[in-house]
Amino acid sequence: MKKNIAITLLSISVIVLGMFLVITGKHEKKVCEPEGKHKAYHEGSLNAITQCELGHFEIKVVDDKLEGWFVGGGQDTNRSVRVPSDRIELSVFLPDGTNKQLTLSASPISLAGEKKDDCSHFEGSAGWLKEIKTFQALGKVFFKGKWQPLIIQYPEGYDRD
Amino acid sequence: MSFWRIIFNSIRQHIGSSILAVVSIWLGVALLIAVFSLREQTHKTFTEIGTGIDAVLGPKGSPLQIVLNAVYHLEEMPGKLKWTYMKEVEKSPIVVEAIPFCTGHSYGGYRVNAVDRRFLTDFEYMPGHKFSFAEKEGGQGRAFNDAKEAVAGWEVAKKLHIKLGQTFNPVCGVKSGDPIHVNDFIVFVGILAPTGTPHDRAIYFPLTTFYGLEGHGATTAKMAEDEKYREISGAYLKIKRIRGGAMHPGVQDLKFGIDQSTEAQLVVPREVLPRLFSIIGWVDYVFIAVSLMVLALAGMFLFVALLSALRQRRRDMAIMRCLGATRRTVFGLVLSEALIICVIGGLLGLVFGHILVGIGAEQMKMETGIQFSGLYVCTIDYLLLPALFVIGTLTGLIPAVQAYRMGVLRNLLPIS
Amino acid sequence: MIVQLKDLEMIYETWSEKTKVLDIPKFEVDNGEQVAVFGPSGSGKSTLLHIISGLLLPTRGSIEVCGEKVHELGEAQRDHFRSRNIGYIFQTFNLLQGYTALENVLLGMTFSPGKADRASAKKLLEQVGLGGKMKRRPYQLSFGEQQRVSVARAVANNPKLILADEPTGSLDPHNSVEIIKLLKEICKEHECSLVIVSHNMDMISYFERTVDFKKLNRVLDTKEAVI
Repeated sequence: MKKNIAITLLSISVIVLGMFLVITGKHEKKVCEPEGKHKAYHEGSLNAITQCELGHFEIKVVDDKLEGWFVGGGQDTNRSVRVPSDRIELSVFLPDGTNKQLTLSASPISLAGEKKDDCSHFEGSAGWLKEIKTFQALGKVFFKGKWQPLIIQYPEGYDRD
Repeated sequence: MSFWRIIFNSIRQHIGSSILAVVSIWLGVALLIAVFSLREQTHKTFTEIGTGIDAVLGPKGSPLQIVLNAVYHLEEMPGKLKWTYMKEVEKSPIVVEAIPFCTGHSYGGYRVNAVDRRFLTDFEYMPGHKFSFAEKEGGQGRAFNDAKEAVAGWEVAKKLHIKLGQTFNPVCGVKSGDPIHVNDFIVFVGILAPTGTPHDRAIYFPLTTFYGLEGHGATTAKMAEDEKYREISGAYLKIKRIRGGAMHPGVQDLKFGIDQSTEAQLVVPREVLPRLFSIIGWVDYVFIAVSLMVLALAGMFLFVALLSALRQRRRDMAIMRCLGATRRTVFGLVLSEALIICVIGGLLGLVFGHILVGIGAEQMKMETGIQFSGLYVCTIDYLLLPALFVIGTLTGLIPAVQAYRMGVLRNLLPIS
Repeated sequence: MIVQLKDLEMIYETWSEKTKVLDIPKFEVDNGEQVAVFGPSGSGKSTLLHIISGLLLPTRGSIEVCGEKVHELGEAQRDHFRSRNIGYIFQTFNLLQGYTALENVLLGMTFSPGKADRASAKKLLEQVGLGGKMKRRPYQLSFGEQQRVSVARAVANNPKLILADEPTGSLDPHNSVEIIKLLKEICKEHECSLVIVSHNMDMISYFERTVDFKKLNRVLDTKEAVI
């Protein structure tokens, strides 16, 4: 008898707790990225510059145009990092074994007060960009006071870690 | 005598504990309804109001503070930004228009905001809704033309008994004790039709008036004449739409660019509001937990009351069995009693909860500008009766099973 | 025959022993008959009534009441049978204290087929002399009045058989006589048979057919109660 009473009281508590959990479970979903994976602000692919804590070069290819942004390291991928260059030269390695050259020109964000040699945003275009789905590229950039190799893997992004 | 009559007779026999059980369920349910109704209405209204504004260009600082000030007329702006910067932003191909504003004044406890006239003619406070002065919608007068004119929100006009032609002196600040512009008389030329948003709780006058108010100094006065020196608190941005009515995706690039500057930031209210709800979300959960605990206690009280009543009514049950009631019948009588008590308490709680919200709605509207309604149907309204049915069944089950298993002869009084 | 019992045995079992309380080779009651069964207290008379009404199943034997083989019915079927065919009167009245006199009588009709008829219940109470006390609860009635309510309740469902278990056991001699007379009159009027058990020889004398329980129940005769 006492056991039955205890079971009933427990059941009521469980139902009420269940209601609480169901009701409060409908909270807004947070976008949780797996630890170690950084979010690309422009929904492009992030390529770590040397290591991901230093900074990234986010690139996006639409049709024949390639856009790139130099951004912060770690979780600071929404913060731009300006580089003192007006162009970036890239050697592009295509899946069919051929190589191409691509020049990215500075495209300053005026609202951020950027200028041609103090700029985080670069653009370049080439007809062959339309045809390809994947490539690798190499270049270099003066980033945060030092020349750094620029390694690009598209579309998966590059992170040596 | 009907089955229901027997149940009500039984409830009447232990009327004290029955009433207490009903009242405790009533209170628990009323609390739950009130909490949920307010929670859902708050979320809905905040979100709806927020989505009327595509984006706010504001100074560097807390995005939440900017939304609270620009959209809900709460808090203060964390700084100022240059007019020329706003004009640069307005040149963006995806910006339809930028409507600047300056905050920081008050009257009678209500915010007085300096705005571009387009705020009254072009601004959509909710998607597809613009301000109106039409009498048939509850408005009066017209938008301001002159520097010394103002319009009042509907709620302000009602509370401060504002009439057209009446003048006021704005207070330079939003706290009590802040200085008054005693030599600046602004005349009310319009009262906005009610919108059901916080805009009902503010007064609006022209930007030129703001810069020219006595006591602001020569630097501020110069802002009226020369854009180069002009500063504003912020600007409401209208962004281009793409097919389907969605905001142009370029807004993210625009936001990125502005956010990188030292001048300003772009805040999209619909992105910031979830953060607001997550900050106050735990308060919701505490209230919900308390309500559910009250309901659980009510259920447990009912269970104990039924069990105790059954002990006293064993003989009655045995007599009914003698008269021809089956085991199933007495089981049903006890279970139905529990369900009826739960449902009565629940229905009373449902009504009372909505009444509570209705009574509190006026006060809450005064405090927040947000319209609440006692007639709003929330999620719990749909879940309540099934949940009460489950709780009633659970609380009545063991006493009902005991009644079912009860021996007839040993529960009658001794016989020869 | 309204009641036919054959080779009835009732044995109660406990951990340590078995006790035979009834051993009745034959017992019959005719339609419309009024029978008084007399015997000492604790002799098993009430057990007999319980078995006839279907409240208890015998260990062995056949029970046919109102044309139904009661010993073959399931418990729920016996409950239905009892609601339709049997009216029960107890020594201690067994009225529901939370109900008025009228409601107690109505309860007698509730579990039988057909709607509980308020008008009939009122008429019955008038018939037993309680027309002016319908709204009183049992604690507001004398013992005699309570037993009258019990009588009215017993006939409320138009039973074919009324079983009265020491109906005058809690009453004074004057009320006892009144109740016995009332019972006989009501049974005659409603055309139902009556089996009454009692140890009070004064009351037994009002009945044409009497049965000595000591002779009916072989257990008492042979004193072989404990097996």
